Amino acid sequence: MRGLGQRFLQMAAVLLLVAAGTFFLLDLMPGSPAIAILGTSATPEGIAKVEAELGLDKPSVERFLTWGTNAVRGDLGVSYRDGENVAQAIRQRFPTSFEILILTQLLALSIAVPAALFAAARPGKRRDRALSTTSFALIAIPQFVMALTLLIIFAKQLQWFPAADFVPLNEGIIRNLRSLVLPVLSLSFPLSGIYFQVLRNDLVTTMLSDHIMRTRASGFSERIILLKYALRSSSLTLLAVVGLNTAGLLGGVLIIEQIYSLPGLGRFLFDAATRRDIVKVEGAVLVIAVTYVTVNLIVDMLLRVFDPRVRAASIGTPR
Amino acid sequence: MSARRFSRVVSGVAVLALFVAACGGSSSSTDTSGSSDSTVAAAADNDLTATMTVGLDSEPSSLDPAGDSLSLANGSVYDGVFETLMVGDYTKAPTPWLAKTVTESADRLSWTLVVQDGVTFHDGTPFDAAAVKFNLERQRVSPYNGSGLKNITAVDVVDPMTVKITLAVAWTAFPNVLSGINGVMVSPASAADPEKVKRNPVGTGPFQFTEWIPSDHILLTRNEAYWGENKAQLASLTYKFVTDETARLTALIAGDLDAMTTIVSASVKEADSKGFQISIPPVSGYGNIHLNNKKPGLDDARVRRALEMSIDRDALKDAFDYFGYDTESGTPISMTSRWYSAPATANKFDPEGAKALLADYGKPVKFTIELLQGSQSTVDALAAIVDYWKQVGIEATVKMVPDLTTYVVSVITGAYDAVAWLAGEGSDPDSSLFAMLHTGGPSNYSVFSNPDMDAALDEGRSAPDEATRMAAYAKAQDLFHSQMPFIVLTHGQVRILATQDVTGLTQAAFFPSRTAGKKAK
Repeated sequence: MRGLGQRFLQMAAVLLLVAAGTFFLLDLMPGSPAIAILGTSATPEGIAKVEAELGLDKPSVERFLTWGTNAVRGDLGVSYRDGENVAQAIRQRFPTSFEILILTQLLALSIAVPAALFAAARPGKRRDRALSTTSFALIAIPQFVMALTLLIIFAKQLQWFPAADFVPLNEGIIRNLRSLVLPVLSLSFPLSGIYFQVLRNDLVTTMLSDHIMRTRASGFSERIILLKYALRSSSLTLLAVVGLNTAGLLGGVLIIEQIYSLPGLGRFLFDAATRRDIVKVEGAVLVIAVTYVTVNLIVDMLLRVFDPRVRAASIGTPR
Repeated sequence: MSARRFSRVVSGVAVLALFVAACGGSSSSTDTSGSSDSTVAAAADNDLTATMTVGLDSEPSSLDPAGDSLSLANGSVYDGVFETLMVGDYTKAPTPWLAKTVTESADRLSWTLVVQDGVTFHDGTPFDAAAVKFNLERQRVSPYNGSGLKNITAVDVVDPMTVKITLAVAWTAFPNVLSGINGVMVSPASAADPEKVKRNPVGTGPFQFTEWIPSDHILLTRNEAYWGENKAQLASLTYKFVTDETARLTALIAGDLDAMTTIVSASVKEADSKGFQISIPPVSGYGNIHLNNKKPGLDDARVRRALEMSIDRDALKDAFDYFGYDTESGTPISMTSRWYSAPATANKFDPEGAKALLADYGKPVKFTIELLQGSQSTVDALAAIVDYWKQVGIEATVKMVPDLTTYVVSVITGAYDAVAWLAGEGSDPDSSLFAMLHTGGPSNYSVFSNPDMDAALDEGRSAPDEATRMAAYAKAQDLFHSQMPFIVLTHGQVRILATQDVTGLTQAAFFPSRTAGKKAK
C-alpha cells in the first residue's frame, strides 16, 4: 500500500521533529548543563571542567547529528552524570511503564464500556445522570489526591497492598500484580471517567442517527441495536482516544510513580529533565515518541479496516 | 510542577538534606565511624545472618566519591563500601584509619603518609601508596571536590607504602580533610572505566557493592574478606529509594522497611508515637540566607545585622516545628561542634535594635530574595521572615525560581541580592569557613571580604596547636556575628526512624552501614 509508505515517512518526520525540538530546546535553556550537573557545589573552575568533558564546545547541530546517527543504531549514549547507559536504562524501565499502561487501559475500559452502554440505553434518565456525574467527579479529582488516598486506606490502614514494594514481572506474577493494584487503580479511575464520557456521548449520537433508525425499523430490539450496531461504530472513536492516551500514560505518570516508588519512564524523564541530563531526556523522549507513533499507526490502520466511513473517505484521496 | 526532588535538598530555611561534599569541596563527616570505640552493640547480641532494608528519600546520581555525592544516599552507601584515610568528626580529633601514620614535616609544608598494611580492595587490588596517590590526584581534579584540595601542590610516591603530600601553606587541618570525601579510597582498577566507576563502587569497606537497580534499590553484601576487626553486622543491606514521604512511612509502619531516613518532623512524631526508635545523627549542614555583600544596602554590616536581629527564631521554631533543630548558633559552626564558641556580641532578637541600626544606616533598604521552588513549609517560613523584615522597615520581595540551574547561576555569577541557600558543615572549621568566608574563597558567593576574617582563617588553617586554632576560630565566629555576611538559620538534621530490632544507630550523619545490625531473636 502506498498509503502505508507515506505513513512511515510521516512517522519519521514526526520523530525527527520531536527529537530535534527536544534537543535544541534543552540546549537553548539558560545556564550550561554543567551547572545542572554540579548543582550547589558548582564553582567556575568545576563548570569549565565539566563543560570540556561534555564536549559543549562543539556546535549544537554537530552534537545533535552525532547523537542522532548513534540513536538510529540503537546507541542512545551514556549519561555524564552517573554513567548509566541510556538504552539499557530505558530498556529496564520500559516494561514497567508498558505493563502499567496496558493494565490501566484495560481496567479503564472494563469500567467505562459497560457503564457507557448502561447509560446510553436510557439517555437523560437518572442512571445516565448519576453515571455522568460520577465520571466527572473521577476526572476532577487530582491524581495525587487519588493516589495518596488509596495509599493511606489500602496500604497504611488495611495493609492489603504494599506501599513501596514494586515486584517486577519476572519475579512472580501474583506479587507483581499485587504491587501494581494501587497505582493502576489511581490511574484508571480518572481515565475511565474520560472514556465513559467519550463512549456514552458517541453512543447517544449514533443511536439518533439515520443508520440506526433504519435498523430499528427492521425490527431489532433496542438492546441488540445498542450492543451490536451502535457500539461497533462508537467504539472506533473510543479506540482513537485510547491511542492518544499512550504517550501520557507512558511518560506522564510521574506523580503516581513517585508516590508508589515505581521504576518507570515518568520518573526517569522528570529526573533527567530537572538535571538537564540531555542524553537521558533525548533517549526517553525518543522511545516514548516511537511507541506513541507506532500505537497510533496501528489504531489508524484498525480504523481504516473496521470503519467503513474512514475507508469511504479515503477512496476519494489520490494515492 | 514544584521540583519535588529538590525540595528536600534545597530549602534554605526549613530543613536540610545531607550534604556530603560541602560547597567548595570541603571535607565533611562521611565515613567517620572508626568503630574502634565500644559505642556499638556487642556483636554477640546481633544476628549476623540478618538482612536489612532501609528506605531513603532520594537516589544517588553517582557512586563515585569524586563525582556527584550530594545525596544522603551517597553517605549511606559510602559508609559501607568505602573507607577514608583518617576518621574523625567535629566532636573529636581525627585518627588514622587507612593511613597508618600521618606526620607533618618540620617546615610544615608537607605531610608523610604511611599506608595501612594488609588492606585490599574488594576486587583484589592491593591498597598501597600508588592507590593513595591515584585517589588524591583524582580528587584534586574533581569538579565537585577539587577546591577542597587546592592547597596541595604535589603528591608523590616515596616507596610502595609511603606517600608525600606537599602543600602551598601550612595546613593543620589536613588530617581532617583526609577524613572527609577527599580522603575516600577507591580501587584504581575500578576507576579505569570512567563510566563504570560511577555505578560500580569498589572500596575497602565492610560491605561490598552488589547491585544497583535504578529507581529501585542498591544492594550491599558483607565483605567476608574485610581487613579490619569490625566486620559488618549484617549479611546484606538493601537501600530502597522511596521518594514519597507518606509511602516511606507507610512502608516502615507496615514492616516492609526496617528503617528509614526523614527530614519531616510530622513523620518523626508519628513514628515516635508508634514506638519506633528515633536516632539523631550529628549535623552536616545548615540552611541559610545568603546575602550578596556587593549589592546596595547589603554591603553594610549594619543592614545585615538588622536583618538578623529582626527575626524571632523562637517563634519560627515553634511555628515551623523544627523539632530540636539548632536555630541558636547563628554561624556556620553548630552548637554541637567542639569548635563552637559563644559570640561576644550576639545578634539576639531585637526589632528596636534593628530599627536603630537601620536609622543609623539612613537609606531605605530594598532587595529581592530568591527561593528555589520546593516544599510549602519552606515558602511559608520565608514569607514569615520577610514579614519580620517588613516590620522593621526592610522591603524584601520573594522571587520563586522554578529550576535549579537558573537558581545556581544567579548565585555563582553574583547576580542575586539574597537567596535562600544551603551549605555543608565540615568536621573542621577550616572546611566550613575558609571556602565561604575568605576573600576569593571558591564558594564565597556572598563576596564577603574582611581582612580580620582573612587573618583569623589563615591562622586557623596553619597554626600548629589546637589552642591557637580554637582562639582563631573563636575570633572568626565573633567577626561573623559582627559582620553578618549571611544569615544562618538552622543546622538541619536528618532523622533515622527504625524498628526496635535495629542496633548500632550511633554517631552517624546518615544511615550507619558499618555499625547497623539486628538483634538476635
